Amino acid sequence: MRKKKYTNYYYYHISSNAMSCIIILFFLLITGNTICASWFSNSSQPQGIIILSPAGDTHYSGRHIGDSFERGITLWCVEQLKTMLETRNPFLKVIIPRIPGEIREPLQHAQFANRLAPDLYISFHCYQEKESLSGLWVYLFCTESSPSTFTQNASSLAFLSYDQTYVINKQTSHELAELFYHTVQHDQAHTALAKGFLQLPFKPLIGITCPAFAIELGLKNKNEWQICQSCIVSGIETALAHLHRQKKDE
Amino acid sequence: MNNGNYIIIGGACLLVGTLFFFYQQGYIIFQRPITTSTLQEENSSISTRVKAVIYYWHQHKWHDEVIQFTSSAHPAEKIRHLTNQLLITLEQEQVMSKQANLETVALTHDKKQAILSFNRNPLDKQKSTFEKLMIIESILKTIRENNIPVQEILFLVHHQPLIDHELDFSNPWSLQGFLNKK
Repeated sequence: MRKKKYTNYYYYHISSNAMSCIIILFFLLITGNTICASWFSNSSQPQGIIILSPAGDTHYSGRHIGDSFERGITLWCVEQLKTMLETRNPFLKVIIPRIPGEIREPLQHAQFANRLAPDLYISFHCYQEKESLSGLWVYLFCTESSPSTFTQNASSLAFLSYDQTYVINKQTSHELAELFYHTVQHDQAHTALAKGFLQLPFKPLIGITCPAFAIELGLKNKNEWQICQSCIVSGIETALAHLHRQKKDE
Repeated sequence: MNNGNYIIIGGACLLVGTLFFFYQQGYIIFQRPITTSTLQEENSSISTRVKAVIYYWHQHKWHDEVIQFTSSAHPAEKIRHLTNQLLITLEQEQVMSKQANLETVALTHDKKQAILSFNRNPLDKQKSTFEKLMIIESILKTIRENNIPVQEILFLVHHQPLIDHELDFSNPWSLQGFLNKK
Protein backbone atom coordinates (compact mmCIF):
# COMPACT_ATOMS: atom_id res chain seq x y z
CA MET A 1 0.00 0.00 0.00
CA ARG A 2 1.64 3.22 -1.16
CA LYS A 3 0.68 6.80 -0.42
CA LYS A 4 0.61 8.96 -3.55
CA LYS A 5 -0.11 12.59 -4.19
CA TYR A 6 -2.62 13.33 -6.91
CA THR A 7 -3.18 17.07 -7.54
CA ASN A 8 -4.24 18.48 -4.13
CA TYR A 9 -5.38 15.13 -2.55
CA TYR A 10 -3.59 12.13 -1.15
CA TYR A 11 -4.91 8.69 -1.92
CA TYR A 12 -3.90 5.18 -1.00
CA HIS A 13 -2.96 2.77 -3.68
CA ILE A 14 -3.87 -0.71 -2.48
CA SER A 15 -2.25 -3.58 -4.15
CA SER A 16 -4.33 -6.57 -5.24
CA ASN A 17 -2.65 -8.80 -2.59
CA ALA A 18 -3.57 -6.45 0.26
CA MET A 19 -7.12 -6.21 -1.08
CA SER A 20 -7.43 -10.02 -1.10
CA CYS A 21 -6.16 -10.13 2.50
CA ILE A 22 -8.78 -7.60 3.61
CA ILE A 23 -11.59 -9.53 1.89
CA ILE A 24 -10.44 -12.83 3.45
CA LEU A 25 -10.21 -11.21 6.92
CA PHE A 26 -13.69 -9.78 6.48
CA PHE A 27 -15.13 -13.18 5.59
CA LEU A 28 -13.30 -14.81 8.50
CA LEU A 29 -14.78 -12.23 10.84
CA ILE A 30 -18.32 -12.86 9.57
CA THR A 31 -17.92 -16.66 9.72
CA GLY A 32 -16.42 -16.53 13.22
CA ASN A 33 -19.22 -14.34 14.44
CA THR A 34 -21.86 -16.70 13.03
CA ILE A 35 -20.18 -19.79 14.51
CA CYS A 36 -19.87 -18.14 17.93
CA ALA A 37 -23.49 -16.98 17.88
CA SER A 38 -24.78 -20.45 17.01
CA TRP A 39 -22.53 -22.03 19.68
CA PHE A 40 -23.76 -19.63 22.33
CA SER A 41 -27.40 -20.19 21.43
CA ASN A 42 -26.88 -23.98 21.59
CA SER A 43 -25.00 -23.83 24.87
CA SER A 44 -26.94 -24.86 27.99
CA GLN A 45 -25.86 -21.74 29.86
CA PRO A 46 -28.74 -19.46 30.87
CA GLN A 47 -29.00 -16.33 28.82
CA GLY A 48 -31.38 -13.44 28.43
CA ILE A 49 -32.62 -10.72 30.74
CA ILE A 50 -34.03 -11.13 34.21
CA ILE A 51 -35.37 -8.51 36.60
CA LEU A 52 -34.69 -8.91 40.31
CA SER A 53 -36.98 -6.48 42.08
CA PRO A 54 -36.25 -5.79 45.76
CA ALA A 55 -39.13 -4.96 48.12
CA GLY A 56 -39.79 -1.47 49.45
CA ASP A 57 -38.73 2.03 48.49
CA THR A 58 -38.09 5.37 50.20
CA HIS A 59 -41.69 5.57 51.41
CA TYR A 60 -42.12 1.94 52.45
CA SER A 61 -39.29 0.58 54.58
CA GLY A 62 -40.84 -2.88 54.89
CA ARG A 63 -40.50 -5.26 57.81
CA HIS A 64 -37.85 -5.19 60.53
CA ILE A 65 -35.12 -7.80 60.28
CA GLY A 66 -32.88 -7.43 63.31
CA ASP A 67 -31.71 -3.83 63.31
CA SER A 68 -32.34 -3.39 59.56
CA PHE A 69 -35.31 -2.90 57.28
CA GLU A 70 -36.61 -5.13 54.52
CA ARG A 71 -35.92 -2.53 51.79
CA GLY A 72 -32.20 -2.38 52.65
CA ILE A 73 -31.67 -6.10 53.04
CA THR A 74 -33.54 -7.04 49.85
CA LEU A 75 -31.54 -4.48 47.85
CA TRP A 76 -28.30 -5.83 49.29
CA CYS A 77 -29.39 -9.42 48.55
CA VAL A 78 -30.40 -8.76 44.93
CA GLU A 79 -27.13 -6.91 44.29
CA GLN A 80 -25.21 -9.96 45.50
CA LEU A 81 -27.44 -12.25 43.44
CA LYS A 82 -26.84 -10.08 40.37
CA THR A 83 -23.05 -10.27 40.80
CA MET A 84 -23.13 -14.03 41.33
CA LEU A 85 -25.51 -14.71 38.43
CA GLU A 86 -23.65 -12.49 35.96
CA THR A 87 -20.27 -13.95 36.95
CA ARG A 88 -21.45 -17.53 36.53
CA ASN A 89 -23.49 -16.81 33.38
CA PRO A 90 -21.75 -14.34 31.07
CA PHE A 91 -24.74 -14.20 28.67
CA LEU A 92 -27.21 -13.27 31.36
CA LYS A 93 -28.19 -9.67 32.07
CA VAL A 94 -29.65 -8.98 35.52
CA ILE A 95 -31.54 -5.73 36.06
CA ILE A 96 -32.41 -4.27 39.45
CA PRO A 97 -35.27 -1.79 38.89
CA ARG A 98 -34.64 0.26 42.04
CA ILE A 99 -31.85 2.45 43.34
CA PRO A 100 -31.48 3.61 46.96
CA GLY A 101 -33.55 6.73 47.66
CA GLU A 102 -36.05 6.09 44.88
CA ILE A 103 -39.82 6.43 45.34
CA ARG A 104 -41.83 3.86 43.42
CA GLU A 105 -45.29 4.79 42.21
CA PRO A 106 -48.02 2.12 42.28
CA LEU A 107 -47.59 -0.32 39.38
CA GLN A 108 -44.34 1.37 38.31
CA HIS A 109 -42.49 -1.95 38.57
CA ALA A 110 -45.10 -3.62 36.35
CA GLN A 111 -44.90 -0.85 33.76
CA PHE A 112 -41.11 -1.16 33.68
CA ALA A 113 -41.22 -4.94 33.37
CA ASN A 114 -43.87 -4.86 30.65
CA ARG A 115 -41.89 -2.38 28.56
CA LEU A 116 -38.62 -4.25 28.92
CA ALA A 117 -40.28 -7.69 28.51
CA PRO A 118 -37.60 -9.71 30.32
CA ASP A 119 -37.39 -13.50 30.26
CA LEU A 120 -38.14 -13.67 33.97
CA TYR A 121 -39.25 -11.27 36.72
CA ILE A 122 -38.53 -12.13 40.35
CA SER A 123 -39.86 -10.05 43.22
CA PHE A 124 -37.64 -10.43 46.30
CA HIS A 125 -38.93 -10.09 49.89
CA CYS A 126 -37.70 -10.77 53.43
CA TYR A 127 -39.18 -11.05 56.91
CA GLN A 128 -37.93 -11.77 60.39
CA GLU A 129 -38.25 -15.46 61.23
CA LYS A 130 -38.71 -15.82 64.98
CA GLU A 131 -39.73 -19.39 65.69
CA SER A 132 -38.18 -21.88 63.29
CA LEU A 133 -35.16 -22.00 61.00
CA SER A 134 -34.72 -19.65 58.07
CA GLY A 135 -36.96 -20.59 55.19
CA LEU A 136 -38.04 -19.66 51.71
CA TRP A 137 -41.52 -19.24 50.25
CA VAL A 138 -42.34 -19.05 46.57
CA TYR A 139 -45.44 -17.13 45.52
CA LEU A 140 -47.23 -17.05 42.21
CA PHE A 141 -49.83 -14.43 41.39
CA CYS A 142 -53.39 -15.64 41.11
CA THR A 143 -56.87 -14.15 41.44
CA GLU A 144 -60.13 -15.94 41.95
CA SER A 145 -62.02 -14.55 39.00
CA SER A 146 -59.33 -15.17 36.40
CA PRO A 147 -59.77 -17.62 33.52
CA SER A 148 -57.78 -20.83 33.85
CA THR A 149 -56.24 -20.48 30.38
CA PHE A 150 -55.68 -17.66 27.97
CA THR A 151 -55.03 -17.98 24.26
CA GLN A 152 -54.60 -14.92 22.14
CA ASN A 153 -55.02 -15.30 18.40
CA ALA A 154 -52.90 -13.13 16.17
CA SER A 155 -56.02 -11.80 14.45
CA SER A 156 -58.04 -11.03 17.56
CA LEU A 157 -57.71 -8.26 20.07
CA ALA A 158 -57.98 -9.10 23.75
CA PHE A 159 -58.79 -6.76 26.61
CA LEU A 160 -57.57 -7.71 30.05
CA SER A 161 -57.79 -5.72 33.26
CA TYR A 162 -54.46 -4.97 34.98
CA ASP A 163 -54.97 -7.67 37.59
CA GLN A 164 -55.67 -10.31 34.93
CA THR A 165 -52.66 -9.73 32.67
CA TYR A 166 -50.68 -12.48 34.38
CA VAL A 167 -52.78 -15.10 32.54
CA ILE A 168 -50.80 -14.34 29.34
CA ASN A 169 -47.79 -16.22 30.76
CA LYS A 170 -49.52 -18.10 33.56
CA GLN A 171 -48.34 -21.54 32.43
CA THR A 172 -44.69 -20.48 31.98
CA SER A 173 -44.68 -18.65 35.33
CA HIS A 174 -46.03 -21.76 37.02
CA GLU A 175 -43.44 -24.03 35.41
CA LEU A 176 -40.52 -21.73 36.27
CA ALA A 177 -41.66 -21.13 39.85
CA GLU A 178 -42.16 -24.84 40.39
CA LEU A 179 -38.73 -25.65 38.93
CA PHE A 180 -37.13 -23.00 41.14
CA TYR A 181 -38.91 -24.35 44.21
CA HIS A 182 -37.97 -27.97 43.47
CA THR A 183 -34.33 -27.01 42.98
CA VAL A 184 -34.29 -25.30 46.38
CA GLN A 185 -36.24 -28.16 47.95
CA HIS A 186 -33.85 -30.83 46.67
CA ASP A 187 -30.71 -28.92 47.48
CA GLN A 188 -28.62 -31.35 49.53
CA ALA A 189 -27.01 -28.65 51.66
CA HIS A 190 -30.23 -26.82 52.58
CA THR A 191 -33.01 -29.40 52.81
CA ALA A 192 -35.12 -27.46 55.35
CA LEU A 193 -35.00 -24.20 53.43
CA ALA A 194 -38.03 -24.67 51.15
CA LYS A 195 -41.17 -23.87 53.16
CA GLY A 196 -43.91 -23.70 50.59
CA PHE A 197 -45.18 -22.84 47.14
CA LEU A 198 -48.44 -20.88 47.01
CA GLN A 199 -50.68 -19.20 44.48
CA LEU A 200 -52.33 -16.10 45.92
CA PRO A 201 -53.12 -12.46 45.08
CA PHE A 202 -49.57 -11.31 45.82
CA LYS A 203 -49.62 -7.55 45.32
CA PRO A 204 -46.03 -6.93 44.08
CA LEU A 205 -46.74 -9.18 41.05
CA ILE A 206 -49.92 -7.40 39.88
CA GLY A 207 -49.91 -6.23 36.27
CA ILE A 208 -46.79 -8.10 35.13
CA THR A 209 -47.25 -9.89 31.81
CA CYS A 210 -43.90 -11.69 31.53
CA PRO A 211 -43.19 -14.92 33.47
CA ALA A 212 -42.97 -13.85 37.11
CA PHE A 213 -42.87 -15.19 40.64
CA ALA A 214 -41.90 -13.94 44.09
CA ILE A 215 -39.43 -15.19 46.68
CA GLU A 216 -39.98 -14.44 50.36
CA LEU A 217 -37.12 -15.30 52.64
CA GLY A 218 -37.55 -15.70 56.39
CA LEU A 219 -34.28 -14.78 58.09
CA LYS A 220 -33.39 -15.12 61.76
CA ASN A 221 -30.73 -12.47 61.18
CA LYS A 222 -29.46 -10.76 58.07
CA ASN A 223 -26.19 -12.74 57.96
CA GLU A 224 -28.16 -15.94 57.35
CA TRP A 225 -28.74 -14.71 53.82
CA GLN A 226 -25.31 -16.10 52.86
CA ILE A 227 -26.54 -19.65 53.56
CA CYS A 228 -29.42 -19.37 51.10
CA GLN A 229 -27.59 -17.46 48.35
CA SER A 230 -26.10 -20.39 46.43
CA CYS A 231 -29.30 -22.44 46.25
CA ILE A 232 -31.33 -19.40 45.10
CA VAL A 233 -28.80 -18.86 42.31
CA SER A 234 -29.02 -22.56 41.34
CA GLY A 235 -32.82 -22.32 41.33
CA ILE A 236 -32.82 -19.27 39.05
CA GLU A 237 -30.29 -20.91 36.72
CA THR A 238 -32.40 -24.08 36.49
CA ALA A 239 -35.54 -22.05 35.71
CA LEU A 240 -33.73 -20.01 33.05
CA ALA A 241 -32.15 -23.09 31.46
CA HIS A 242 -35.64 -24.62 31.18
CA LEU A 243 -36.96 -21.41 29.61
CA HIS A 244 -34.03 -21.38 27.17
CA ARG A 245 -34.71 -25.00 26.14
CA GLN A 246 -38.40 -24.21 25.73
CA LYS A 247 -37.61 -21.27 23.45
CA LYS A 248 -35.20 -23.34 21.39
CA ASP A 249 -37.81 -26.06 20.88
CA GLU A 250 -40.30 -23.47 19.63
CA MET B 1 -108.01 44.52 54.00
CA ASN B 2 -106.51 46.32 56.94
CA ASN B 3 -102.83 46.62 57.84
CA GLY B 4 -103.01 43.79 60.41
CA ASN B 5 -103.99 41.24 57.72
CA TYR B 6 -101.07 42.33 55.51
CA ILE B 7 -98.69 41.79 58.40
CA ILE B 8 -100.16 38.31 59.13
CA ILE B 9 -99.98 37.22 55.44
CA GLY B 10 -96.46 38.65 55.12
CA GLY B 11 -95.32 36.88 58.30
CA ALA B 12 -96.85 33.58 57.15
CA CYS B 13 -95.12 33.86 53.75
CA LEU B 14 -91.81 34.60 55.50
CA LEU B 15 -92.25 31.56 57.76
CA VAL B 16 -93.15 29.26 54.83
CA GLY B 17 -90.19 30.64 52.83
CA THR B 18 -87.79 30.07 55.73
CA LEU B 19 -89.06 26.53 56.28
CA PHE B 20 -88.73 25.78 52.54
CA PHE B 21 -85.17 27.20 52.59
CA PHE B 22 -84.23 24.97 55.56
CA TYR B 23 -85.76 21.95 53.80
CA GLN B 24 -83.81 22.72 50.62
CA GLN B 25 -80.55 23.12 52.54
CA GLY B 26 -81.11 19.87 54.42
CA TYR B 27 -81.58 21.43 57.86
CA ILE B 28 -85.05 19.87 58.01
CA ILE B 29 -85.46 16.25 56.89
CA PHE B 30 -88.85 14.66 56.43
CA GLN B 31 -88.93 10.91 56.98
CA ARG B 32 -91.93 8.74 56.36
CA PRO B 33 -92.91 6.72 59.46
CA ILE B 34 -93.34 3.53 57.34
CA THR B 35 -89.51 3.34 56.70
CA THR B 36 -88.79 3.25 60.42
CA SER B 37 -91.26 0.48 61.05
CA THR B 38 -89.72 -1.71 58.30
CA LEU B 39 -86.26 -1.32 59.82
CA GLN B 40 -87.62 -2.15 63.25
CA GLU B 41 -89.25 -5.26 61.84
CA GLU B 42 -85.94 -6.45 60.32
CA ASN B 43 -84.00 -5.84 63.52
CA SER B 44 -86.51 -7.48 65.79
CA SER B 45 -86.18 -10.95 64.22
CA ILE B 46 -86.07 -13.77 66.77
CA SER B 47 -82.68 -14.32 68.43
CA THR B 48 -81.65 -17.85 69.32
CA ARG B 49 -78.73 -19.55 71.06
CA VAL B 50 -76.41 -20.83 68.32
CA LYS B 51 -73.56 -23.35 68.60
CA ALA B 52 -70.74 -22.89 66.07
CA VAL B 53 -67.13 -23.87 65.47
CA ILE B 54 -64.32 -21.41 64.79
CA TYR B 55 -61.18 -22.48 62.96
CA TYR B 56 -57.75 -20.88 63.18
CA TRP B 57 -54.19 -21.64 62.12
CA HIS B 58 -51.71 -21.70 64.96
CA GLN B 59 -48.31 -23.37 65.39
CA HIS B 60 -48.31 -24.99 61.94
CA LYS B 61 -51.72 -26.69 62.22
CA TRP B 62 -55.46 -26.02 62.20
CA HIS B 63 -57.25 -25.70 65.54
CA ASP B 64 -60.98 -25.62 66.16
CA GLU B 65 -63.04 -24.38 69.07
CA VAL B 66 -66.76 -24.71 69.77
CA ILE B 67 -68.48 -21.47 70.74
CA GLN B 68 -72.01 -20.46 71.68
CA PHE B 69 -73.60 -17.13 71.04
CA THR B 70 -77.00 -15.50 70.83
CA SER B 71 -77.73 -14.46 67.31
CA SER B 72 -80.53 -13.95 64.85
CA ALA B 73 -80.85 -16.19 61.80
CA HIS B 74 -79.60 -13.40 59.56
CA PRO B 75 -76.30 -14.47 57.86
CA ALA B 76 -74.67 -11.05 58.35
CA GLU B 77 -75.29 -11.22 62.09
CA LYS B 78 -73.83 -14.75 62.23
CA ILE B 79 -70.72 -13.66 60.31
CA ARG B 80 -70.23 -10.74 62.71
CA HIS B 81 -70.41 -12.96 65.80
CA LEU B 82 -68.18 -15.70 64.37
CA THR B 83 -65.52 -13.32 63.06
CA ASN B 84 -65.39 -11.28 66.26
CA GLN B 85 -65.08 -14.44 68.34
CA LEU B 86 -62.33 -15.67 66.02
CA LEU B 87 -60.45 -12.37 66.30
CA ILE B 88 -60.63 -12.54 70.12
CA THR B 89 -59.26 -16.10 70.04
CA LEU B 90 -56.45 -15.12 67.65
CA GLU B 91 -55.47 -12.28 69.98
CA GLN B 92 -55.58 -14.60 73.04
CA GLU B 93 -53.41 -17.16 71.26
CA GLN B 94 -51.02 -14.34 70.30
CA VAL B 95 -51.46 -15.01 66.59
CA MET B 96 -52.38 -11.32 66.32
CA SER B 97 -50.46 -8.71 68.27
CA LYS B 98 -53.40 -6.28 68.58
CA GLN B 99 -57.06 -7.12 68.56
CA ALA B 100 -59.20 -5.94 65.70
CA ASN B 101 -62.99 -5.96 65.72
CA LEU B 102 -65.48 -6.35 62.98
CA GLU B 103 -67.46 -3.11 62.84
CA THR B 104 -69.95 -3.81 60.08
CA VAL B 105 -71.11 -6.75 58.00
CA ALA B 106 -73.26 -6.18 54.97
CA LEU B 107 -74.53 -8.53 52.30
CA THR B 108 -74.95 -7.56 48.68
CA HIS B 109 -78.40 -7.61 47.10
CA ASP B 110 -77.95 -11.14 45.70
CA LYS B 111 -76.56 -12.26 49.11
CA LYS B 112 -73.55 -13.88 47.41
CA GLN B 113 -70.98 -11.42 48.68
CA ALA B 114 -70.36 -10.35 52.27
CA ILE B 115 -68.61 -7.05 53.00
CA LEU B 116 -66.60 -7.10 56.21
CA SER B 117 -65.42 -3.79 57.64
CA PHE B 118 -62.92 -3.89 60.54
CA ASN B 119 -62.08 -1.14 63.02
CA ARG B 120 -58.35 -1.63 62.30
CA ASN B 121 -56.16 -3.67 60.00
CA PRO B 122 -56.22 -7.25 61.36
CA LEU B 123 -52.94 -8.05 59.58
CA ASP B 124 -49.67 -7.26 61.35
CA LYS B 125 -47.25 -5.49 58.99
CA GLN B 126 -44.26 -7.34 60.48
CA LYS B 127 -45.63 -10.82 59.80
CA SER B 128 -44.76 -13.00 56.83
CA THR B 129 -47.15 -13.21 53.89
CA PHE B 130 -48.04 -16.79 54.86
CA GLU B 131 -48.97 -15.77 58.42
CA LYS B 132 -51.14 -12.94 57.09
CA LEU B 133 -52.73 -15.27 54.57
CA MET B 134 -53.55 -17.77 57.31
CA ILE B 135 -55.44 -15.13 59.33
CA ILE B 136 -57.59 -14.45 56.26
CA GLU B 137 -57.92 -18.19 55.58
CA SER B 138 -59.06 -18.69 59.20
CA ILE B 139 -61.88 -16.17 58.67
CA LEU B 140 -62.83 -17.80 55.36
CA LYS B 141 -62.74 -21.34 56.77
CA THR B 142 -64.83 -20.35 59.81
CA ILE B 143 -67.53 -18.82 57.60
CA ARG B 144 -67.35 -21.70 55.10
CA GLU B 145 -67.52 -24.52 57.65
CA ASN B 146 -70.49 -22.95 59.43
CA ASN B 147 -72.50 -23.16 56.19
CA ILE B 148 -73.19 -19.48 55.78
CA PRO B 149 -74.45 -19.13 52.22
CA VAL B 150 -72.05 -16.50 50.84
CA GLN B 151 -69.53 -17.05 48.06
CA GLU B 152 -67.16 -14.11 48.33
CA ILE B 153 -65.83 -11.83 51.05
CA LEU B 154 -64.67 -8.26 50.58
CA PHE B 155 -62.36 -6.99 53.31
CA LEU B 156 -62.48 -3.34 54.39
CA VAL B 157 -61.10 -1.19 57.21
CA HIS B 158 -63.33 1.72 58.26
CA HIS B 159 -65.35 1.15 55.06
CA GLN B 160 -62.24 1.70 52.92
CA PRO B 161 -60.30 -1.08 51.11
CA LEU B 162 -57.90 -2.99 53.36
CA ILE B 163 -54.36 -1.98 52.43
CA ASP B 164 -51.53 -4.47 52.76
CA HIS B 165 -48.17 -4.39 51.01
CA GLU B 166 -48.13 -8.10 50.18
CA LEU B 167 -51.74 -9.23 49.85
CA ASP B 168 -54.21 -7.63 47.48
CA PHE B 169 -57.68 -6.89 48.83
CA SER B 170 -58.96 -4.71 46.00
CA ASN B 171 -61.08 -7.65 44.82
CA PRO B 172 -63.31 -9.88 46.95
CA TRP B 173 -61.79 -13.16 48.13
CA SER B 174 -63.49 -16.44 47.32
CA LEU B 175 -64.79 -18.34 50.35
CA GLN B 176 -62.73 -21.33 49.14
CA GLY B 177 -59.51 -19.39 49.78
CA PHE B 178 -56.19 -19.85 48.01
CA LEU B 179 -54.61 -22.71 49.96
CA ASN B 180 -55.77 -25.45 47.60
CA LYS B 181 -55.00 -23.60 44.37
CA LYS B 182 -53.12 -25.78 41.88
